Amino acid sequence: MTIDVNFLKQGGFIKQRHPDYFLVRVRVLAGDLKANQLKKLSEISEKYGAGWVHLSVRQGVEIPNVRIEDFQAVVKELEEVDLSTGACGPRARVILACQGSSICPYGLVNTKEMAKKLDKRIYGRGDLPHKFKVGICGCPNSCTKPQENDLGFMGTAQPVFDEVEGACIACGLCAEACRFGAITLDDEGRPHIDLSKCISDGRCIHACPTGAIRAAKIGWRVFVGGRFGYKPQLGIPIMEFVPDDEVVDLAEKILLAYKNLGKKGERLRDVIERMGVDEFIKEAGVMKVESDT
Amino acid sequence: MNQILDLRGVPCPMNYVHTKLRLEEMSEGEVLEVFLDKGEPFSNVSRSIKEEGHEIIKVDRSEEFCVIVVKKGGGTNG
Ligand code: SF4
Ligand code: SF4
Repeated sequence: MTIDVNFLKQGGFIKQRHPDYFLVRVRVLAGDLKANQLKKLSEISEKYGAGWVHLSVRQGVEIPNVRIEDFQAVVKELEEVDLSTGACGPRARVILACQGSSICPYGLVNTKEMAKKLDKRIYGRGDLPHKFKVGICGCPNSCTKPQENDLGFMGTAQPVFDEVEGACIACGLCAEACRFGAITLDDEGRPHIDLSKCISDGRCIHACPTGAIRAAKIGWRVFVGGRFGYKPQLGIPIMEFVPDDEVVDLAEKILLAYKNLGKKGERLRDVIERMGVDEFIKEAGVMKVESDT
Repeated sequence: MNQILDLRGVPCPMNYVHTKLRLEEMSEGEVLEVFLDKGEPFSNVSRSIKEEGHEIIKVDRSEEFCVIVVKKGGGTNG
């Protein structure tokens, strides 16, 4: 079989130590695979690989021991079940997401939906100074560590005590639920929320049995410039409570600014350190909001 | 007469499983008193009860434990 070099340019495979073997990187959005996709991965690994796969920390699947002449056939089989190879190199990588509000009891936002939207708009975008990673999570527990990504989004909710939707029965569950002592109960057992101590994890909102504590705002906290690797640095929070329908445009603006302002080889963090976070944000055309945490 | 379920010493999430099974045997409007350890069991079980569509009408607490008084709701939304 002849090897189509143009086809190989699309990437998605990595050279292994062994001279004849390549690792095929399969893109898995938000860590979710359907049963038929799992079956196909199992088949492919037996037919073309070593009979096993590796799960990457970015929720991807890697198929080891594939010969380069089989790569095209593997891609074709992946396509049969709506899978494709994952981006490598200086591109926008697969979007990482936790279970979020559709599965996890702590979730405040729908991470799966947001991952799909972000994926549609920015996944695979190339011609960047370096790689660009986006990670999202559904609440401040940060299971998928959005702070380690070039761009991170975290679901948050700000509580308010408001008895329009439900009367307070002085149960104290809200104060019990808060891990930061942001809620104190008065002599009648009614809550007072100190927002300066609140990290917006929504625990009190979930806890209140009557709806007397509800979310005043739900949205996304935005982190820029996170990375791990040889020089770990956490992303810098720049915005709070960004609504669902503004997230994708915001990501686009930051990605564009990174593309335009970054020098070859710079991660977003390097650009931000060179320019200063305020200047970067200004250039990107997004507004910085002081975090109240 | 309210039904009583003493789940002191039962860890999460088994305490919730017991609560859920007991509530399933009851009819709508009946009241169950659940005894739970303070902290996580209290917070987690009460949140789940609410999410299943039951009504928490009262909470009592002592030094060591809590009692959640639950009125069985019309149906589960799980
Ligand atoms: S980050 Fe929050 S919503 Fe996401 S899986 Fe963890 S606890 Fe659940
Ligand atoms: S949890 Fe709700 S009902 Fe209970 S004290 Fe707090 S506000 Fe009142």
